[in-house]
Amino acid sequence: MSAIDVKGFYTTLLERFETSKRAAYVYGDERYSYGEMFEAMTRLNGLLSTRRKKRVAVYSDKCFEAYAAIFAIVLSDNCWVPINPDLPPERAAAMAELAEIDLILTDRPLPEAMVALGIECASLPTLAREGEAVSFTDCHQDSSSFLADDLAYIMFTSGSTGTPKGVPMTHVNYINFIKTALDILPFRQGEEVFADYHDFGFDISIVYLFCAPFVEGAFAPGCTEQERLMPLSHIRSNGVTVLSSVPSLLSRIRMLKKDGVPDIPLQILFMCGEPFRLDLLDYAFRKMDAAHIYNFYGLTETGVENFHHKCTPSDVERFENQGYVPIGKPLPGNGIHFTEDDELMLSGCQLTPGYLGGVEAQRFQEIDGTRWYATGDKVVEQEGFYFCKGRLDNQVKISGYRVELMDIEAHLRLIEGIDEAVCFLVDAGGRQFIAAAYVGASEVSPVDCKATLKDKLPSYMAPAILWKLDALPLNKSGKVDRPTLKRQYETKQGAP
Amino acid sequence: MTRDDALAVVFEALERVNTDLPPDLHLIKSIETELLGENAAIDSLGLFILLSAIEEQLAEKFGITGVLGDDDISATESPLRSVGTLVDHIIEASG
Repeated sequence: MSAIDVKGFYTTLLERFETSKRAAYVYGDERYSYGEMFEAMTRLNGLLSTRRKKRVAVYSDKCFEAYAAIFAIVLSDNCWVPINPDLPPERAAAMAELAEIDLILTDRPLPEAMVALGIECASLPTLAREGEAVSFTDCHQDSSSFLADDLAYIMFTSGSTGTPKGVPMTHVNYINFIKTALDILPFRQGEEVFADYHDFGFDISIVYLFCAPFVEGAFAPGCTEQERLMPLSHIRSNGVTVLSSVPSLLSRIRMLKKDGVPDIPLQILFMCGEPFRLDLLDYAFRKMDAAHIYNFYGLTETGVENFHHKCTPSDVERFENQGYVPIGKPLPGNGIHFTEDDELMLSGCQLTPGYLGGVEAQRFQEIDGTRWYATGDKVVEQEGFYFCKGRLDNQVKISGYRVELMDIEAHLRLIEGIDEAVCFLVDAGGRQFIAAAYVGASEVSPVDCKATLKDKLPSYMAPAILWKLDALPLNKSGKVDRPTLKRQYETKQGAP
Repeated sequence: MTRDDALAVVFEALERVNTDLPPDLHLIKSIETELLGENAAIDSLGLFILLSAIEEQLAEKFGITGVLGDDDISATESPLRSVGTLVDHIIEASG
């Protein structure tokens, strides 16, 4: 039996929505209270209460109703599946099909590829405004509700075959982390404003989605691309105090504001998803005046975050030899083990039951009666602190998204003129760009490539650089020699 | 502000942006260079950095501010479609 009180967690969550008088959502002049969000949730529950333990997709832009829908879904004992409407329709449809969605709540007409799936669909704005209000009480009093191993949400990661992998999370899987985060982070009850600059399908969103209501904080979404790319004015105008994001956001801020931004009201800076360089930590302490800075490490498959480090200004000197902020130490409930290659293995209550469809089952290993997940990350220890040294496979991180390069390559091979393609990353200006080397009968321009891929892959996965070769370099075992390929490209570019 | 002034500001900003791009992605200093849409030679973040560099130079050299501030970088009918339309917009907006 799990030590996590799942039902108690949801009872408290529901109470916050029912009783808090604070603002729940702020965006410019738009403000909604917890009471107003709860009212929208009960209206959505009119439809949701007719089902239990079903998978419900939210296919919508960031808006007040979308937040209400997420909470209504989990509080009605259903499973939330975020699908970003900006994704290519074919990929969104593949995700909906893989997740066996029962209902789609949407703010727009569905694209043809999703209509073809024949899934029941309802208008999110209409339901949130005009639906018949139904209380969550019956569901919460039912002893069969909120069982520890029932699914709470499903997210997707890039897969090596060209199809995204579905990662189901049970209630226990993510609640263990949320409870830890609420213990560790110095939130001020009723005073925090949580920035939301990331896709709901990126599990960094779980941090603010589920911490904010417990501390009666407000959500402040970045609704335009400009706000998400460079959110300084959004932070100021909405009074953001908690920023959960990836370090490349700090890099962008520093690029424009080298002298710093001491006038922003940040209290908590929660960094994750990418290596956190010490020069960026130094900037955050000295030029952004952030009161509390944390570095977290985790994977979608292992319940959001598994390690954490509370940063101090002295880290910049102390860990200079590593160049990066440590990922720190394991959070409660997480077991760690290392292979001979320093690959981090994780165990504990936060491990997903496994990918949808049973794919890549080899990543989950039973050792001496304990179930472990092979993270694919190389992790080393220094002075009792752990450091992530990058991937041991072909996955890469682009703006915090874990991308399987073979996913892109599988789609590139379908383009006319490309017989074989291999992707790698090119570093420049503190950013990373995806390059694809290919062999084939004809020249393919990045523009044509992007146009072909736009119905199949998210835009951040489209290669920015295409490089035609007569043949790809091979290693002794006859496989494509990726390190050599990258070196050849750098030589071509005149890089050191 | 003359067209040559505006063009010089934009070209200098392009040079600055190029220092942060891999050589294969360097932007061509031409009024034909497309900045928005399917054939854009730059991504959203790059465009944002370019506009910031232009704003900075307009303020430094000509004391002009707020010329580009409210434009939505994702709008398809934006004056930011190409280097040429951007130069026209700067001349018009700076009076």
